[in-house]
Amino acid sequence: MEGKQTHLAWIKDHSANLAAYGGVVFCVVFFTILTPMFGESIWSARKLETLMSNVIVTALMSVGAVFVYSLGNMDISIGRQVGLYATIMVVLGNSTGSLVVPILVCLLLSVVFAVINGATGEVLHIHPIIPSLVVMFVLTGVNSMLFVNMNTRNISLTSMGHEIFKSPILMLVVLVAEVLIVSYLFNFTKYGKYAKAIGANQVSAQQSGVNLIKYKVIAYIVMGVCVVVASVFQMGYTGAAADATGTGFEMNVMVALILGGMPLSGGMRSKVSCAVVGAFTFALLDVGLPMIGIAARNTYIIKAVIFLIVVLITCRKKDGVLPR
Amino acid sequence: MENREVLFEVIHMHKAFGPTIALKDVSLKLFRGEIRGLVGENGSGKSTIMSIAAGMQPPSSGEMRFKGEPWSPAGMVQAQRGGIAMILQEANTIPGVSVAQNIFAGREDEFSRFGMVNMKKMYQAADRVLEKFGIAHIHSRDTIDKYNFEDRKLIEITRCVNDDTEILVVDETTTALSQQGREILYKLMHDMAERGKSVVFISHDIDEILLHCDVVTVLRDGDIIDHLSREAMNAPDAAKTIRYLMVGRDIGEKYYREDFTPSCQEEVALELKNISFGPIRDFSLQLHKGEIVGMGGLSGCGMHEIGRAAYGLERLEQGGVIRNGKEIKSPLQAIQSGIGYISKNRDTEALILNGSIGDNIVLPSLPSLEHGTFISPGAEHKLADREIEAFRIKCGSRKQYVSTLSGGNKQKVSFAKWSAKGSDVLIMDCPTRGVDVGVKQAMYSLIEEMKAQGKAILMISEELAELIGMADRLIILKDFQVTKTFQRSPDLKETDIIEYMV
Amino acid sequence: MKKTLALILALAMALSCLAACGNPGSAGSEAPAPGTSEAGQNNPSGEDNGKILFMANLNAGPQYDAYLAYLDMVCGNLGYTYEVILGDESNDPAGNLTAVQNAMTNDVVGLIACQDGGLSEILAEYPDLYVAGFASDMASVYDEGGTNASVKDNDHFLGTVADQYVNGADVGQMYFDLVVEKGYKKVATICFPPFAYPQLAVADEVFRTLVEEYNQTADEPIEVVGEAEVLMFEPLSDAYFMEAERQDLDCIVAPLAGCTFVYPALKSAIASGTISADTKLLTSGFENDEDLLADFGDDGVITAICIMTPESILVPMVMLDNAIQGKPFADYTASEAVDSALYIIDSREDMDRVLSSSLLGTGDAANTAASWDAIQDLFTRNNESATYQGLKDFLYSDALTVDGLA
Repeated sequence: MEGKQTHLAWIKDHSANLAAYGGVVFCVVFFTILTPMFGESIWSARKLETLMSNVIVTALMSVGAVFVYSLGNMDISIGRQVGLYATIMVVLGNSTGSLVVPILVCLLLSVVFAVINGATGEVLHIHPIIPSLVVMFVLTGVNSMLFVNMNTRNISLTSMGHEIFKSPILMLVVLVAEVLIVSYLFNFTKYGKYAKAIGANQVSAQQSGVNLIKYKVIAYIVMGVCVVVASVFQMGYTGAAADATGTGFEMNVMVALILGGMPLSGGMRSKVSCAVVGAFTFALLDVGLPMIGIAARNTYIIKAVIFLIVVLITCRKKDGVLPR
Repeated sequence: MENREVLFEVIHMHKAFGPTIALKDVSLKLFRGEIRGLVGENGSGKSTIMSIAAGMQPPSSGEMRFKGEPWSPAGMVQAQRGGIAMILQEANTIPGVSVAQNIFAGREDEFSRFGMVNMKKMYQAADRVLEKFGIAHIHSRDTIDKYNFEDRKLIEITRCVNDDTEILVVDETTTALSQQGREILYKLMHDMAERGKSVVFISHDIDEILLHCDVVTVLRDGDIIDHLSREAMNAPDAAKTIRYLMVGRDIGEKYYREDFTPSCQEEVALELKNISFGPIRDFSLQLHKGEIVGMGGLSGCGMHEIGRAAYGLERLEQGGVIRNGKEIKSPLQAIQSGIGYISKNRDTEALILNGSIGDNIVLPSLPSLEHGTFISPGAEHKLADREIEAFRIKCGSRKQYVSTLSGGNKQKVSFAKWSAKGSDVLIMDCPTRGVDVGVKQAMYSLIEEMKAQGKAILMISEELAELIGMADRLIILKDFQVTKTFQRSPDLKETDIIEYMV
Repeated sequence: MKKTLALILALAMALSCLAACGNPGSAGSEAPAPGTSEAGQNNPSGEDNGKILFMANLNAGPQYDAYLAYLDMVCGNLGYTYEVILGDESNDPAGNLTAVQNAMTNDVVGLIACQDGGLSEILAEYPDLYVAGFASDMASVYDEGGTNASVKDNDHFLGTVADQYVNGADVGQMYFDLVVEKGYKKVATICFPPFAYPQLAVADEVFRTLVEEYNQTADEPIEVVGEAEVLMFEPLSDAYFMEAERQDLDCIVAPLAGCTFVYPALKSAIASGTISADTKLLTSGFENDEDLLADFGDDGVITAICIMTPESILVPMVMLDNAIQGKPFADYTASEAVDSALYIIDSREDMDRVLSSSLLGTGDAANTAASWDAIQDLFTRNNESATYQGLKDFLYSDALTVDGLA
């Protein structure tokens, strides 16, 4: 009796994780069984490559974004940042003949955006989404000005090959490395612990000696760096950047994190695994559904339904103390 | 007595939170026209029974009968409409809207036509309600943020109670109220009892219980231990009997410090030097090692703000907070120089409710656990377990969320944070707020122990008794000014002090 | 309780749409289609030649419906299935590539692409896939130094059919002719930004040059008011008509989807009396909106619409099928961008004919001038002596103009 109860309690406590992991496991099993019936295989080398190229950019961004989401914040300038970084990498890459300089420039810019996004909310006492909205608009303007000046809608890397970035092995290695580094920062250093504490209770964190501005900015920097890494792969995969590159990526990140079971309010339940699980779930659907005969344009509604189910399970309200 | 009508009945109720059993097979009858006191230590289940009755949570098993019918409310609103209303310990008002909207939250329909709320009608109705409860100094059109905690509590009471209310549950509400506010509440309780309704009064203040209740039920560890009739409550040692029943053992006479000589070391541990900020002007205080300085006054006298300032939470206009020759300007500096702070707002400031006990305890200590950047989970767990053990925090494990703990255990966690950090100066703002006798006693002996270890303690409290009982030196404030400083003495009485407070 | 209910509902939704989507033939994605039964004696539709992906640049509207109806008919006769995929909204290379990757199954043999972003990556990723362009001039392929220039000489890239004219100069000429024919004397022009649509800028320039030349000999010169208004992919704002000089225009020349982008602002300016009620619109685009169609003709606001004949999608289908069957045209040497067949609808009678008896107007492949009987000999599989030139001749024949409609 008691054993059963503790099991139940465990399931209840972990329902968000179960739903998220269950989702990805279900997708894998589902497609493994069903795709051969349609003469396909989700496990074919080609499809795995497709899956990897599908998941990589979102996963790289989302892993970093865990830091910001754990604060209970979100950054909607991510997509435009990717667009800008990709453009910079192509332009400077072509003029310098290597990606070293452009990547350094992008890292520098990402720190600037991190300071703006992370600190201004705290200093000016405005909702942290506002500065990121401003950054988004500014970057949209900058990017479209760049392309209007170049008199084109897309540019491509001509000074060097970019085949290396299409390698699924490299993608996997970089993703694993990033996950390991971010997990370390998130779980075993005060940067992550403080970020979670701020998300869970900002006042309490401050009274426990957490410098809010500093650790918020650090969280945004971690994300910024990950976004730069993601941009390298976004740009590298086609060797091109366009004025629309990155559009809507911030939504992909949000969807991936929610699908992965990340609480939008941040706090102690935040996990790096949410990012990876969510990104893979989504990519599996993208790749798998057309293989079982579902037209690509019909996949949206299915994804919406699955999203709804996961959200219903993960976002249950625990404190039913009403009326408040 | 037996021929009175049973209004509400709990039959063989059982409630478990995971492995923790909160209620075991409890049966309770509530009669019309009585004020029932419910006492027990934190975690004894006294709030749990009534929160189930008021629809905040379902029981694990067992049944309830209300007015002879089976009763299983789906939520607080439904329970309230059915006639059982509960006033909670924590503030429960909706910020940013008017008083009237708070009073009629969820009942806008009564003032609506075609989906439009007739605000004028609502304000008028609200003013009538406020007047009826004798709190006409609150205006229905004002935004609720204008009012202090006490007024908001009163507003909340007017929201919960209406003509249909059959049972009113008052859960630890009086700790938040001044004497005047309490009188309003007491009057309401007696009114209801006279009208043949029923009141359940949950409180830690045994004197208050003895004064106002017709019968007292004592709970311990989820079990009903005994009922005391009015006659038994009139006995001279009734308070002691109740305490004994609550704790289950004789807790002895020792409660506060037993020595009555002020004592401290020479060395100044913390100095507030001519600080001015907001309404506070030129306040100075020297806190010595091994000294307990008490600070008392009415809630708005400025003592809480001084406590915050001593921890670097306020921006000073003049003067400074100095420890070891260095100025303290932020909580981080304060922590680094060995100062700890326990906010009076335990749930919103002192603790991360949605975090585990372990996470809460180690949070201020993280920098000292670092090797390079690495913080070993093992070291964290060891530290947390050590403190859980030392404070005897009642929990399943360090992974349990603080939100699931009882008030007293929560407070132990906020003490444990600073004990873990090894702070030498502790600023405690209302450290025993909402904590029951047994835990209070433990806290007092803990504070005494800290004093013996040479720690400096600034104890801010609204309870004069504990200040008199614990402090070496007692500073009384009124309107942001020090009105009097008392030295520890066996002759010090509350009545001597009150005149300097009001 | 509510949550359980919601969960059950969501599950039901999921199941029902899985069922619906899995059902072949729904959503116009698969054969067989209505057109099949009437024709196709030569090719029993039991044949399974694989799947064609159609990366469309639209996802609704009469043009889109016409494409699908025509593809149903042609693919049914040739033994292909087809699937519509959505490319990146902004023609982002990576987005287009991902769209293709996600839809890629073993049976995919060809791609009709209405967007050029990422073409070289798609061809590099799938070297066996045949790709033909449609409704796009594929500037990134054919322009000097374009990002997809390498594609031009790839033998798996089979050229493209532009939306109307490849060359902006022809567009300029076409609208100039219309202005002269209708006798408009005071005109203004509207464009999309040149960096996105360079040929529209050319069209505008040529239009102005032609007007200047015309004015040297004409009794009554044509006045082009101001510079071309550039729309940043947003409908024309009402403020446009606040300028005094735009309040007594004879017509607005908008060689873009003006039914959506220009007409609403123009109509409301006329209705509010801001501008002359005789301001007309020459534009492109086609909407199945009754009010809009009723406002067409010399009595209405829109006096001419120039639009690609949807049957032009025949060209990529012929090119793909020949390549897939391994029987390319003998006279096909290099990929190129060609003009599409064109409807120039410039009178009420024309519009009525289009509405009643064309594929575009009815969305029914039974109403096409390019029926299976008419086109089957254009395929090398049916006719050894079919030629590339023959295909182009058919494309530009009267059959695919307004005059060719019954």
